[in-house]
Amino acid sequence: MSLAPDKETTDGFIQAILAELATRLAELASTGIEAQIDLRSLPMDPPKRAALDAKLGKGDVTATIADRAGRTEVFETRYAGVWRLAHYDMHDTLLMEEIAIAPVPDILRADPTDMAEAAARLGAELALDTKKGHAND
Amino acid sequence: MTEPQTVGEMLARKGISRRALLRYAAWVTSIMALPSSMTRAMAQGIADTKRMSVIWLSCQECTACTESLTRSYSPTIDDLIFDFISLDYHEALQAAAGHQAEEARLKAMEDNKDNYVVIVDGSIPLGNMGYSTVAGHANADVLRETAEHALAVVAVGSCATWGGLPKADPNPTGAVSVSQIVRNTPIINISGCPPIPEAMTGTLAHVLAFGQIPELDHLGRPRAFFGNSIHDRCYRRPFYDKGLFAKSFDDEGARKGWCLYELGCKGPVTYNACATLKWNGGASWPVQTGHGCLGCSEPDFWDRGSFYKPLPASTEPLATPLAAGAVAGVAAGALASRAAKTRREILGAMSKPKDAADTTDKT
Ligand code: SF4
Repeated sequence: MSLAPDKETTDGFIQAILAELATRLAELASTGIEAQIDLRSLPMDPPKRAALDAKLGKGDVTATIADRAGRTEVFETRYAGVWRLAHYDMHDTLLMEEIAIAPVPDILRADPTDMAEAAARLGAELALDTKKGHAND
Repeated sequence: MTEPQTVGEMLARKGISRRALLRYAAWVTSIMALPSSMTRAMAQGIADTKRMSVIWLSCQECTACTESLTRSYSPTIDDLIFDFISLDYHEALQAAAGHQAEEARLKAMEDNKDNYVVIVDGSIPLGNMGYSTVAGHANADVLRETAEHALAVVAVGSCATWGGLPKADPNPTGAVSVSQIVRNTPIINISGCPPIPEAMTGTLAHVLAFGQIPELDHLGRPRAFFGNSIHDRCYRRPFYDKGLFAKSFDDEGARKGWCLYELGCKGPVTYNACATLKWNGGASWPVQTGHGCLGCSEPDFWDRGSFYKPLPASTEPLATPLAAGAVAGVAAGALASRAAKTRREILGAMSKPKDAADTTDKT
């Protein structure tokens, strides 16, 4: 492995993004404050984007959210708490990409309203099953 | 089963998850250049609100604005907006006709007083009201009546915002813009011929989520979409900066993708988001196809000389529509005060518009 710095990652722009990430990550670790970086709004040509992705690498968590309105691909980078997200529409067109600095990206967390609705639904299903069980006794 | 009360409940019924809503909010905050940290607040704001009643009035128009928004040939992410709003009146899209249709408009106005949004496409004839009527009523009268108790009026397309092609010299119908008719109700101008669909849906989503209109420019347009010139964001700009211009549509420069300035491109004086959002789901945009920008989102673009002459030879000084700056200010202030009547006031504080100006009578 070469220890010489990669030409692209020494690029000022990439350096600035990485420095921002480092600051935000340290802040997350010490205060719990989460942050996001919208990659769509950053002017990066393909080689720069590739260099950033290569530097961040892939960690050990990958998730896919697929629903009727589209798809989101999420993975943690080599840096714990730094996540890459790519959002697609229902035609699989890339809508936007972002970096989330968080213990878990917001979109992966179950929503409190959904959880309450799920609890009610599960409860109702259980009650129905119990009723059916009694009927079969 | 009871009727869903909020957009969130309605989406859940349709099997659209909160995560999908969060994805949508991430996309809208991105295209509107809002801080990413506002994504959750936007998703929450949309989920917690009632579907927004929308009354769409069509005046002297060609239906391209509706076509741009609905793009019936290919549903896209921003079609989710139709789950967030209740389109209670739209002459081209509604099933009801005649008296039933007019009753639907009046009922929506009554049921949602001070909380519905009016979208207008087309210019309004004042020369002879008979040029454009609906159910025997002149456009101007219907617009005045409908706008009076609206939360906001969104003028979509360059006809509604500036008078448009019907206003082209000699303006046979006496066409005027929405801002010359509507008083005391906030106006948001989304110009373009037609306007970019994301500019319409993003603006509506912002109003719905935060109960506030986004920050507007001096012509009453959302800065998020009209804050940069086409020229500022054009991918051919490096050629302009180097002085490399195509001289005809089939010369070597045109083939090499050089700047179209000398072929009449109006990008340097046109403010819109075509260069970044592009058209048809990001497929392309006029300059990318090899044709200069026509400047269709600017006032009087239709009367500013040849589309094919370079700017200094073809452009008169930019006309400013009547009291446009005031339109922006009225919009900002008045909507904030009406929205304060709703439960959205807390979230609304997150996106306070900068401008504030006095109410202006534009007729
Ligand atoms: S093509 Fe038009 S918008 Fe693009 S750089 Fe040339 S003049 Fe500017």
